[in-house]
Amino acid sequence: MEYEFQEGEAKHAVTVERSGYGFRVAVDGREMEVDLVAVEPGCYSLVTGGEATDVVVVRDGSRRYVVVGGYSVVLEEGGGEGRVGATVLEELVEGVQTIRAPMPGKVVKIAVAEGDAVDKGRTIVVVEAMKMEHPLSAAGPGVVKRIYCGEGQNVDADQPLAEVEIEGNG
Amino acid sequence: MFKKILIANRGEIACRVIRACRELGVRAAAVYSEADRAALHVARADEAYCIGPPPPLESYLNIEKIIGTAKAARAEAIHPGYGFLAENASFADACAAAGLAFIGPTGDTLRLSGDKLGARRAVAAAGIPIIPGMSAGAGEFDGVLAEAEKLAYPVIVKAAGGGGGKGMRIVCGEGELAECLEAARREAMGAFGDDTVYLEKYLERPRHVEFQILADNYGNVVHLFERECSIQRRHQKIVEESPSPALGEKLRKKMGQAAVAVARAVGYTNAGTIEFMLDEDKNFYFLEVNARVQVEHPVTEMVTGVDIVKTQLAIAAGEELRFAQKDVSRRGHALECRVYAEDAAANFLPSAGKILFLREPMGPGVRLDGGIYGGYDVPVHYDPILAKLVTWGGSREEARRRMAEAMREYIVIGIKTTIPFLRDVINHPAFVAGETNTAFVADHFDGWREEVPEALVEKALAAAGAAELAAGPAKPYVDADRAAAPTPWRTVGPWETGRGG
Repeated sequence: MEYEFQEGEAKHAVTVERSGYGFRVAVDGREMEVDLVAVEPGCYSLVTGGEATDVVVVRDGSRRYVVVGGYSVVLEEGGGEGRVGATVLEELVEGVQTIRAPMPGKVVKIAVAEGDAVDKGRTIVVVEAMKMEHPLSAAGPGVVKRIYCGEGQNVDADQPLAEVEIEGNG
Repeated sequence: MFKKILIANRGEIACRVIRACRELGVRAAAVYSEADRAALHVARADEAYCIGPPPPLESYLNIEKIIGTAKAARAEAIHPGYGFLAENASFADACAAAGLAFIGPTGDTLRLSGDKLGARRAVAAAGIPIIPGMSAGAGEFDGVLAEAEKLAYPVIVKAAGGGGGKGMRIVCGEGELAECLEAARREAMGAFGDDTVYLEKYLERPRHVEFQILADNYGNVVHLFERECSIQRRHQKIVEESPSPALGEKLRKKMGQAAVAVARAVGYTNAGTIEFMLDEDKNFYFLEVNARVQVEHPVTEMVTGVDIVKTQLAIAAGEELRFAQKDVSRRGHALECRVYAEDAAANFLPSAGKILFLREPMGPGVRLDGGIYGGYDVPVHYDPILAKLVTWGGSREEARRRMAEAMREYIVIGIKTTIPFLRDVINHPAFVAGETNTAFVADHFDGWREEVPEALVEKALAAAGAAELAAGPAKPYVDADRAAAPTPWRTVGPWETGRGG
């Protein structure tokens, strides 16, 4: 079998076939013999070249969470779309910054009005979640184009809250 | 001792209090909001009562509802945990008026210590050094501005009504003052229901050293030595230890005596903490009284062998302290790391959601105070603390290595936690050397990202591929969509013994 996994910005090709009691695996062309045994749900004992490691693999849709040696690696099967494991707080498309809620929470303050000119770093909206406030600010100098939320409103993660037109392409 | 108490809290601290109750043979009644029906403390308790909708003001901060629930359940006392109503004087008064013992100091002591400004005045009057700053709440902007200039920037805006890093802002110059004041007032209002704030001189690289106090209702006050809690983010502690690497026996004795004097000055009873700042020249200044059991209390329990939570119940039940200062000794070194549902690589942004997989560490000298389980959905409404990992060792280095190993074993999948960050903190050369101060995170971990060793990425890819093939298309391994579905342990049916051959 051949799998493609994306980890961060990098894409990796993994081919796997059964071999004796274990597997012959090639990661980006580097071959290795892998002996993998399930020890409890989600947990595996991995022995390769005499080196033993315990590994946890959890599937969440097309995503794989793998923990090995105390480190967590997030893989997106089939290359995925965009970045893996990073929260997109704001995006800048054609000079327009869309400010999104970084997590589910409540809008506690809208610091500007539509049409306001703002400096880089100026707080646009403040979102509160888990008892802490998170100010979201302008990525560059510009003008507030749209505000999509109201003070006191509950918002979901990634919900657009405001748009700022950044001068000179940010 | 009480027969039954009500615990007006949730999460890991509610679970901790339940443990103490069980050891003492006291029935533990839990309360929960509608968002917390599936929370661990509800499952662990002897009794559980829903007290309202998810927002704290309508549930965990609803004094009338909590007292009514305690009376209806025939509880004799209320343990408030930390946060929520723990340092609320009106709540302590309301408990007393309803004939319930409040497991903490009296309403009057809470009023004095909870009013950070009043506490500053009382402590200064007792001859203990305080940090330069305002002795009354901030009023009109111009007055605050003049005060800030007098203290000289940087200054810190603090909420008079509470701690825990909430309603707190560092101000480095005049231009930031207005916005910081406003944000601190708003956060203070939300967290404590009081928007009084004041200014203090901001000490730039102090150590945070605090003393645990136990005081009974008969005038006996002892301290259980110090904890150093210098490693902080957002002015909130994330790593704590005892003893402090900075204290020699002479200074320890002097600060311990000062802590007991502060406790007496505010008429303290039950368990509490006297916080100090220690500057680079080892001058100490009173910071504040934390009139509650603290998040980091296990550190002290590990080195002194005193169970602070059980002692809290005993004191509230009217028992006398069973030991004097000379009987308190300490042994070895303990470390605590706070595990929060936060993304340390994204400015400690909270990370609520479902825990797809959980493995908690064990081993010699390892203690875990947790409030979560695999499959638990971490709600957005409350403080993001998930658990506290504590290790004990004969030396600081032994405790530190145990911590590093325990964190390697500690696996939480599905939400971001501070575990990878904390692992890098305790392995940092400055931490290893005991060079800790409150600027530690800013100085050494600005822009931190988890860096996974290349060799482990390759292993992860190999394991993911092999696990995929091993599982086959029809039978996936642990699948998030089925995280709540029965595990083989449940579907296999009960084990049967004594039958057949």
